[in-house]
Parts: sequence; structure tokens; C-alpha cells
Amino acid sequence: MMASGDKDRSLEHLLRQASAAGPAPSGLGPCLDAEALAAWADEGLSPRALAMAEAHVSECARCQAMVAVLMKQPPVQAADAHRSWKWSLGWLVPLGAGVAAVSLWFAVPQRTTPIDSSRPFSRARIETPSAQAPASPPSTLADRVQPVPPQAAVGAERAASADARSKPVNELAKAEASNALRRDESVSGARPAEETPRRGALASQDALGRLAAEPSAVSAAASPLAAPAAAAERDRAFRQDAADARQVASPDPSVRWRIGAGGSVEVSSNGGGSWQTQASGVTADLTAGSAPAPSVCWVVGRGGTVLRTDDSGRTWLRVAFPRAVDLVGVQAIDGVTATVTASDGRVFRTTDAGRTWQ
Amino acid sequence: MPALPIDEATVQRQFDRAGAARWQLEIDVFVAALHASASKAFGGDIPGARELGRYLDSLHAEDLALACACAAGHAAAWEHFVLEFRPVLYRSADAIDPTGGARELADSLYADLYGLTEREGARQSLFRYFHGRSSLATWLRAVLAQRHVDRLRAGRRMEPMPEPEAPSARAAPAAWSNPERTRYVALVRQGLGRALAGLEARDRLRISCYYGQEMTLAQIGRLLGEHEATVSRNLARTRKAIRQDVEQYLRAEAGLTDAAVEECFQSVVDDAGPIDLNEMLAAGDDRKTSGSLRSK
Ligand SMILES: [Zn+2]
Repeated sequence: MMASGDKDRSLEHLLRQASAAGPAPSGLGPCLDAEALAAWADEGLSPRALAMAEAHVSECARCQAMVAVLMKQPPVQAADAHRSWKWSLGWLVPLGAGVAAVSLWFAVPQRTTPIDSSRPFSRARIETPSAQAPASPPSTLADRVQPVPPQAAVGAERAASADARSKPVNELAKAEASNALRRDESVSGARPAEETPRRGALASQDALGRLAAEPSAVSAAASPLAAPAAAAERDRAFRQDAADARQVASPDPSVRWRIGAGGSVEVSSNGGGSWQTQASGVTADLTAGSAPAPSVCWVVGRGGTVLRTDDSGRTWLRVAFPRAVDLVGVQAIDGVTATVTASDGRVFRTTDAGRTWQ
Repeated sequence: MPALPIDEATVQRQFDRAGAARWQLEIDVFVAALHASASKAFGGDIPGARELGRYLDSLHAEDLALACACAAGHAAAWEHFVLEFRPVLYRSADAIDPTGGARELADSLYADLYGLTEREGARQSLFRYFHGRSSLATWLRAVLAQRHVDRLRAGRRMEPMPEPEAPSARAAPAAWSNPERTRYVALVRQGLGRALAGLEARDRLRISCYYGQEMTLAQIGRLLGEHEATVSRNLARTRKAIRQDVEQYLRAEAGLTDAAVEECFQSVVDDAGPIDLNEMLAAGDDRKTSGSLRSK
């Protein structure tokens, strides 16, 4: 006769292979956006919103993966705490208020009182640790008391062997390998823009577009549950956003540039009706441009890439730039004066066509 | 948007609390941010003034002001943000992918935060989606987590489908020589799918976090506001309920004898093959339509 513990282990074996048991029932609502996810982690959701979030995530592989990635991150460190410290002492209050609460609030130091019952949007934290002793989980749960180090083995093999449990497995590998491949086919039609992997800033432009399409609480665009028509419309909108983001208008409405990944530069002389590819001479992803005159355009990109043309793009000049930082913005006054912004926020300016930068 | 009852005194109090003057933030911009935040939190409902006041007091006001100022293009605010939050973002990226793969995501995030796109002459910064319900640091981590997950998923979608036979062939072919075992494993999976579908959301979430996402008890506890020991107890309770549900399914609905039920569980142990999600999903659907065990 098989003991119930053995039966449990049989089931655990299956549970590890499939985290989400089924598709989210219709009406459960779309995926959590990053803001709601963060609010959840920081106890900023109303009880109703929290219940809805839990209901959705309990059945959504994508959201489960996001939650896991967020919650597995190590606590915010001293430098961050210092910021709060500087602004307010409020985050010190929880000392003595319970280990669970302290660990959470240490992870995310706040300036408000952590277990402040007057804070209506906080989940009531009524539990207190029963003792100093470590949690004593039943039998097979015992090995999970220690934090799992963050894993990033993207190619983690879907080890279904009996010892899979003891191996560090990417948080996504299991849920994704078992769920995404099959289930996502059914929903991928709702968000075709995600079908092609994109890189760097261009991908982020899409993400920006996706966020732009979600003015309300939740990201319907990213949801497998969105009504197809609405999803298609949002998808169209965010692809348009992404396209817009890479277009550089000039003072002449008929002249515009389009830039993109791999050093791609195109020009249109009929307001975007048709495009001609130009030779930029670089392969870096281009992120931003500025055209102060119809024939003059500055373009910046990854790895300190700065390009300039004074002849409507017949020739693109590589402008020397002192640092190999990713550039994310450019504002040009004319062919000799421009200001560029790096991804770390630094701003560089030239007034001699890029011979010197300050 | 219907007007929310935010009076001038409230606005001023929040403005002061947020230290918004530090960034020369226009009060109208801040008011708009408060409205946007409350609209999202109340989902279009109009709260009473007191409820709204409590909500506004719960916001991470300094962070909200900083985000507003950055979105509005205030240079000092942006400088401060970069200085204070770049380490947060990079640490987060390194935690997600110690090989540095997520740094690119963090870098690209800056472009969106800075607001490269313009609409009607105004910069469109990602900051406009920050509503102060969390700290700015947590929000940044969440945005990064979302992008990381979506990138992985997009990548996986590009991979070819595995050959259906291959994994089974790789795994213990002996176990599959018995056709009865194949059926047993399928039945257990079906029962499991139904049992999971019948759980309370919170119980299902806990199970998914633990088994599917391999989160620690502490991490799950932080997420659900439970102590580790409680997480552990609840997991054990749910696991027991699942087992009983599956056994019940195998006996009552699949009509198996006790011996055959034993066989079923043993077959799962022997089966190193992958789970058939389609089967599982079908079971979940079945469960929803019949609703037989759901109300339990
Ligand atoms: Zn979701």
C-alpha cells in the first residue's frame, strides 16, 4: 500500500512540471501591469484589487513568472535605504513588529509606517512568527527554507527526472517550457508584435508602445484574454507607436527619416509615403535622431554611435564620440550644434560638429 | 474622467509631503498625477473624500513627485533619479541575470523613462505609468521583471516545437511498455488538473509559486503576507486536498479500484516524461463546465 506521502510526491512530481493548471477563465481579467505588480509587492493594492490580482496570477503563467522574478530579487541595499533614511525616518518604525513584516519592509524601505493600520490600502498583516525557530515545513517542503539563489540559466533543460527538484532551475524554464510552447500559440495571434524577438531600445520602444496602450489598471494588450478585436486594435496602435518612435521629422513635413536596429536608416521625401534605404555605415542599433533642417540630420545609437548628414543622407558621417555609452537622445540645433543624452542620463554637447564634446 | 474630490488643502498637503517644490514641479502637474493615481486605484469609481484622503496619504509621495518631475523634463529631477536609482536598476538586472543579459534591458529602460517619443510636442515618458502605489524602486524592478519575462517568452515562442515522441523516448521506455500505465498517468494528470482548477485562488497561487516558480517559503510569504511557517502549513494542507481530490476522481469518476489507484500514483513516479499540457488544460475546461468539484 502506497503511503499518502508517496502519493503526494507523485503529485509534486507533476506539479513541478506544470505550474499553471489551465487557461485563465474568461472574465478573470487581463494581466497585471508592472505598476500593479509593484503595488502588490509594496502592499499598495486595495483588498479588492489584491483579490483580483491573486485570482488572475493563480492561473496565468506569464504573471506567475513576473511575480517570481520580482520576488526573487534581493533586498534593496544600503544605498537605497540611505535615500529613505535621508528623507524620512518612518521606515525604522517596524523594528520589533514581526520578522515577516520587517523582512518585507527591509526589502523595500518605505517612508510610511509599514504596519500602519491606518494605511487603508495595505493588506492587514495579522500574522506574527510563531517562534524564532525556523519554519518546520512538512516533509518534502523542508528543502525550500533556504532562499534560492537567482538563476539565469535561460537554456535550463527541462529536467523531468526525479532529482529535478535538487537542481537549480531557472524560474521560468519549467513554467515556460511546459506552458508557453503549447498554450501561447492560442493567444499569440492577439499580440503578433511579440512574435519576433527584438533587441535593446527597439524592443523597449515596443514595450513603451504597449504601455502606452494601457492607460488603465491593467495591460489588456498583453493579455491572452483580451477580446480579439480590441487586442488587435491595441496591437496596431502600439506598433504604430513603435514606428513613430523611430521616425525623425524634419522642418519640412515631406522629409523624414526612419532609423532602427543594425544601423538601419531610411529617408522619405513624401511624408512617409515611401522610403529609401540609406547607407549609414554602422551596424549599431540607432535609437534617436534630430533633424534641424530638411537636409541635416543627427542620429545616435548604441556604443557611442553618433551620425550626421548635411546632404539629405547621401553621405552619413560618423561623428567621433568620446565614450562607448549607449546614447538614447539627441537634440540638434543645426549641423554643428547638438546635445546628446546617454542611457545613464549624462548629457554631452558639441558646438563644432562633434570635434569636441562637453 | 469624472472629477475626484481632491480639494486644494489636500493637494497642498500632498504637495508639501512629497517635497515637490524641490523639483520646481508645477502644482497642476502634481494634481494631474494624483488624479491619475486615484483613477487607477479606484478603477473609475468615485471614492468618498475620506477614503480618497486615506488613499492619497498611503502613496509614496516623494517618489511620485520625482517621477512627475522627470516626466515633465526637469533636469535636476532626472539627474537625481539617475544618481539614486541607477544602482537599484542595475542590481535588479544583475539579480535577474548574473551574466549581464538584463543590463541591456535596464539600459533600454532609461530611454523610455527619459521619454524619447514625443506626442504633440510633449515627451512621452514611461514615468507617467508610475502612480506612487509602490516605491519607485519596486516599480522599476517590476518593469524590468515584466520585460525580462516577455523577452524570454518571445524567445521561447521562436523555438521549434519539440517532437512529441522525443521526450518520452528519452525517458524510461520500459515504463511505457505497459499501455495501462500510459492511461493511468493520463488519468492522474486529468484529476490533478481538475483538483487545481477547484482550488481557492490563493491556494493555487501558493502551489504555483512553490512548485512552478520554485520560490522559497520566505518569498511566497512576502508575496502573500504570510509567515514562512504558515506558507509551509498551507502548502501541506493544499497538497493533501489535491491528493484527496485526485484519488476521489480516480475512484468515483474514472471508476478505478483501490489497487488501480495505487498503480496510477506509482505510474507517475515511474514516468519521467513531460506532462501533456493539452490534456491538463482540457481537464481544467471540463472542470469548469461541469463544476462538479469546484464548489467544494
Ligand atoms: Zn497574466
